[in-house]
Amino acid sequence: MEKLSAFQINNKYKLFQLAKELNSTKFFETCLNDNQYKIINHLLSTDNYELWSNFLEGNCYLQVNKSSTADESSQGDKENEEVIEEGHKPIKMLALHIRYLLWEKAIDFYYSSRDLDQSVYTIEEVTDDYELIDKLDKMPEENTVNGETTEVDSLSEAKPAPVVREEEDDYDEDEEEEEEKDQNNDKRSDDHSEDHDKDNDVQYNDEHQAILEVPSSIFEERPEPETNTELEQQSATESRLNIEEQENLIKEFNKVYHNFEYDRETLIKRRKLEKSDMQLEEAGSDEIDGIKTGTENVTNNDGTDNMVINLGSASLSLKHLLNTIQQQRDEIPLNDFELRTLFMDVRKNRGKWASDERVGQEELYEACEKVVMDLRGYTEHSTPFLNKVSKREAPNYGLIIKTPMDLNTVMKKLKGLQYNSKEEFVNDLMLIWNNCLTYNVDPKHFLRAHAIAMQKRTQKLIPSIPNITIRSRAEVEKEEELENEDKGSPVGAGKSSKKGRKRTREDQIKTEDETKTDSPDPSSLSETPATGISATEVPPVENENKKADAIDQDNEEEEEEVDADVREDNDNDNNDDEDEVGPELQAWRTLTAKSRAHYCAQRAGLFDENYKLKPNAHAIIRESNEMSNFNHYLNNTLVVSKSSNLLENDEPYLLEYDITGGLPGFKYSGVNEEDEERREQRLVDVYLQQANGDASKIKSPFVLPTDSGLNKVYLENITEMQEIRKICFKISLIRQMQTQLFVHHTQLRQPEIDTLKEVDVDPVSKLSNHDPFHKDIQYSILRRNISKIAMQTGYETTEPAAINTLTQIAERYMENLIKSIKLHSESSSSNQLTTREILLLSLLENGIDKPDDLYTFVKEKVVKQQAKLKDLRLKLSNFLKELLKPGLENFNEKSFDDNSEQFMTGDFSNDLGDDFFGFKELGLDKEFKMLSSSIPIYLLHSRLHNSYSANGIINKRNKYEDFKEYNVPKLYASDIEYQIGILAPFYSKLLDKSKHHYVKVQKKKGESTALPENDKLVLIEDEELPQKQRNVRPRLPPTGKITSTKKKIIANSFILPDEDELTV
Amino acid sequence: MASQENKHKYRVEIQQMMFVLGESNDAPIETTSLIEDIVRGQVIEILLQATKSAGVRGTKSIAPEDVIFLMRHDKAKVNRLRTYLSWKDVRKNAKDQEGGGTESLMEGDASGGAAGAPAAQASDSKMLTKYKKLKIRLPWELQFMFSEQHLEGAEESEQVDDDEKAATMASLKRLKMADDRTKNMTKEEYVHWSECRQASFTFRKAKRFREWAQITQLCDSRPNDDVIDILGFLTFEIVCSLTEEAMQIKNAEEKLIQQLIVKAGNLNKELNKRKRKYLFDKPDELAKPIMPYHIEEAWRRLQSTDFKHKAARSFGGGLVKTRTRFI
Repeated sequence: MEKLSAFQINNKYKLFQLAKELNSTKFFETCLNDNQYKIINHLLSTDNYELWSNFLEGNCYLQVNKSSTADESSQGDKENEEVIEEGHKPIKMLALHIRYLLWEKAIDFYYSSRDLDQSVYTIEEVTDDYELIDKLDKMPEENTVNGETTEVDSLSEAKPAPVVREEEDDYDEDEEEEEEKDQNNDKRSDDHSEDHDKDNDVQYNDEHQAILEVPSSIFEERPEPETNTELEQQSATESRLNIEEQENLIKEFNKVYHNFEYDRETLIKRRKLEKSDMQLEEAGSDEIDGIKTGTENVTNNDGTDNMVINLGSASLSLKHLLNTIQQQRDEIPLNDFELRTLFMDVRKNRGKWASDERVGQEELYEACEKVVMDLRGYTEHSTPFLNKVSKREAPNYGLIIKTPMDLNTVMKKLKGLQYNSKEEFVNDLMLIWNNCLTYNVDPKHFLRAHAIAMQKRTQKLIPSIPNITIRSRAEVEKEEELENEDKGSPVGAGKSSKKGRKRTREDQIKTEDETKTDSPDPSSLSETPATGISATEVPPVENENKKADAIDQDNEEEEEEVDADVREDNDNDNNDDEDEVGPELQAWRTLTAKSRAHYCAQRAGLFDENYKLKPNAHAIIRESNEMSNFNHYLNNTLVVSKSSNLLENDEPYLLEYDITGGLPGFKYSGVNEEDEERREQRLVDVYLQQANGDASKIKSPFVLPTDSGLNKVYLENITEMQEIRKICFKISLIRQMQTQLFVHHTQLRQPEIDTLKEVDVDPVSKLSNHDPFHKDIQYSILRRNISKIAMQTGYETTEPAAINTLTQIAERYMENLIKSIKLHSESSSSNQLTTREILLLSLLENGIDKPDDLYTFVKEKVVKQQAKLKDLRLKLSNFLKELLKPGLENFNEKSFDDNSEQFMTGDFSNDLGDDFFGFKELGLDKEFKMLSSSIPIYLLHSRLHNSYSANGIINKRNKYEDFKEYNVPKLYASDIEYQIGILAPFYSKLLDKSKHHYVKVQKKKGESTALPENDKLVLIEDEELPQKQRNVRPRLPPTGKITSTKKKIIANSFILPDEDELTV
Repeated sequence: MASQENKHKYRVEIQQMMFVLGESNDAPIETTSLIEDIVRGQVIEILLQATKSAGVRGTKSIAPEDVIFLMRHDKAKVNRLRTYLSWKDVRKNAKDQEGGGTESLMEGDASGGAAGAPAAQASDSKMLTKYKKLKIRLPWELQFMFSEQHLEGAEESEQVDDDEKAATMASLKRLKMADDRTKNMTKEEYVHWSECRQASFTFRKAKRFREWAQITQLCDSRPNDDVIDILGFLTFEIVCSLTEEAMQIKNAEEKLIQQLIVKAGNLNKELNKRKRKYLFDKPDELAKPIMPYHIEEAWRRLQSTDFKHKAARSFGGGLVKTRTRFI
């Protein structure tokens, strides 16, 4: 930013040029107060560089040059003196302020050029600055042409005066052209041309401060314009200027440095104002009511001769309409009366001041009211003047001030319709200030400053009041009639000019002329030349008169001051400051006073007297328009809400006061149940219309598709399981039939197994105004899915508590997963992970080593399970088929034998329904050529039971059918010799035994004990021997180890220690 | 001192197992003692938890299913165990019916040691498969989800499960490793190696094992022989994983030392060069046996809780308490 080097190195010459430029664009006028502006204007118009540099260094002494002004009255001077302090200090302040303004421009430039670089939109105001500084940038070249002056400039303070002067002269010609723009300026510079020359030699006082001589004449009022029209125009332009000025100031608000120290004071003042407002309203309402009814009665009476209706009070909105109608009057087929009544109908809201009886009242009173409100709103200074001065405050007030007046009284009078002209109103206002000045004679009294400020304000505002003298309708009508009778000439159109215009076509010319003046006030439309002049002339005159009075009363005032001390506390300091603060800050204070007070009051409402937050205080609700304000603020296109907004609400947006910090604001109206219900009802209607009356038709996204994906597999698995369970039930039933003689019919009841359906969320939750991510909905969806998983895992039913617990665990797990993802992605670590890595890491941390695990899970657990289930079902159904077969075989007449009584009674009522066992499904119907698929259950039962019991024996037999019954041939005694030699002793021994046994048996039988022959004697088998004589056959345990008899383990027994040992 | 000696009873077995797994040196007694302690701790833990799950079932005695249930997440191990058990069943049946041939007995031992290796028993396999191989069904299998079970057909039982395939794959891998190890062995060495393969904590030492693991104190009723056999199998597995892990650690350590030496060696290269080799010099580097700290590290690594076991507790704060993990 080398362009800004001028600011960096504090190049005073360039700054001088810049200041001049700025002055020519009336920059300072908006940023400084009147006097300061005048000083600066003078300083710049003198075009003395050295003086400027001294001024900028703060090395300057202000001296008001009284001698040069002779033509003005001394009283005017005195007034000015009160405001303008001579000396070193104020000029230093001013210099600082100017510096601030100039550097601020530099900052603007800096930022705007940065914006320009980025080719962002440009802001008009700043681009001006941009050009300015750009221009400035070119200057050094000129400088170098003129010589090595730039360095000299920067050191000019130390240099002797002559050198500097030379340079000044060089530029005189160029600059004068720039100066020429402002006529007034020009005039003034002409006036003080002598000063000009004189000032070129910079004078220093004894403290080596350059003396800035300012002719007091520049502080004088501008000469009053002579002609009425001029005045009108001026007032119009002035008021427009005021608005523009205000706007400009508002735009500068973001550059105003301020703190909150005055807020308390502002708040207090504001409260006082509000209180007085309340009083005023209470007092006024009764009166006004009375008056209103009165006037209404009057108008009603006049109803018959309604020929003349004053449309003058029509609101501005009708102005253009009126103009157009006027221009095309010929083409409108209505007569005047009709037109007028039409307008009366159309005109909706007549102002509260509107009165048919009193012509011009509405305009005048509206303007007056505005002025009074404005003055009241000027809390910076207006507070002392709101109410009557009480005896307690100033006991002797009544003695000094004969006609006390205050703003509230003015307001009351206004409401009581006691003013008939602008003059009366203005007089009353001025009386307030003059009273104050009269009573408080001491020039340093704090109230005087207030009064003067208010006075100035009033003077500024007065031009906006139209010059209207209210006259009664009767009077006006008479006049008009007279005029009409004369010749209908436009000249004397009088107050009800609009009406006149409408009436007479000749009027058009004039009204058009009038409208061309394009004044913002409706007031300019109506003119009464004589009163107009008198009214506008009054204020200054009176002003001066009052001033004179004030001086007279000086002595008395001092005595009274003591009483006023009570109120003096803060105000005094404040007053001191006020002189020092710039007009910007002042404007800021005034303009924002109300909103500041508003904000502060709001905030104060939150705290109790101990500065603790009140728990039950109402929350500060954010207004939706504040968001747009904030946006404006951010975009910097408009710093504060636009002036229109300001004028309407009178509350500029203040970011720093906004408690909600300019966060996106919204006004939450609260839950209105009725509205909610209605809205929901409407949604329901729409929804039902879409769904053709069936809410279940429209599926929410929570319903998973049943024809694809994992959900499909899960569902299939579950249905497979259900099928298997059914088969299992049948099998168990058949088993029961086989084993039990009677089967109770309750045992036959198949447990109801519902096919699984995708359950949607309730229809109400599907409505668009219900949040699908609401916790309850999400929870129930998760629970539904988890129960599906549980079913797939094999649970037929689950306790709700169990599923809830599972759901909560799943919820927690998911939370953890998301938390870890969040943690990783928001990590401030320099080692930033990619999203892929984050995902993998989070999965790992939550127990999934690799995404592959999920795949294998699906493959292993779900898909494989499906195959297994299908396999299992096939096997089980085959098994069932096998079980059923014997019950259906040989189904013929014989079967009647089995279960006769059932066929006799014909009791088939316990039929199990069509194809209970699913013969068709199993293919048994074809196998056995069954006619009907339903079989009497008892028949089946008996057949199954019988076949099973029969089968049972067969089965047992079948078990060993491979092994044929092998009859070991008996050994006879004669066979022994043919046996193996080794076994011979065994057999001979056995023979003895057999013989012995045979004898015994024979004896028992009582038969002969004679032994049969050898070939007849049967050797005895082991089994035939008595128990004791049998051989012990060793048996191998299953392990194949021959274990010896078990010993008792010593470890199992508890051995007491010897008593001897104990005794020892 | 006597009790100290009594405490460690399986030194030889452990050494043999380690030898089978490729640890060529005889592990020092400290190492084997440590391993034995760990194994015993594991066995005790298994017994305790199995008792608990048996208690949940409502019985006091531990069934084989209870023990397998503890291992259920390690599918490969479960399948190995299954195979082992089915072979054991075959062996038993064979013994019952034939009075027990020595050949099949030997084979069974081998499979007991190396987790049922069907490939290794080419000669005897025909004989053994004649007997119906009992399929071990675990109660948490899918078919037991339902109230009725179908009768198993003959052809069905011969179907090889996918799980079983996986187990076969794993055991084949083990056999391959064993094959690699034995490739360069002499006959005597191989004989020694195959003898070592039979090492078991329980085989023919059931009583010693019971005493060692203090089963009488831990269990209300005497666990049946199947449980003991399963424990025997599991102890072998424990020693296996410990040894393998420890060997990995040892190798890594040696590699690291090697690197350090190389680094340091750059400094005194000359010194190294000057060192000449002579015929009767000691070999350069003696392979070092697995030291107790290797085992400790292996134990630590095997015990570290992975994310899966603490995921539910994340963000919950507090100390995550876990039981000893089965290895």
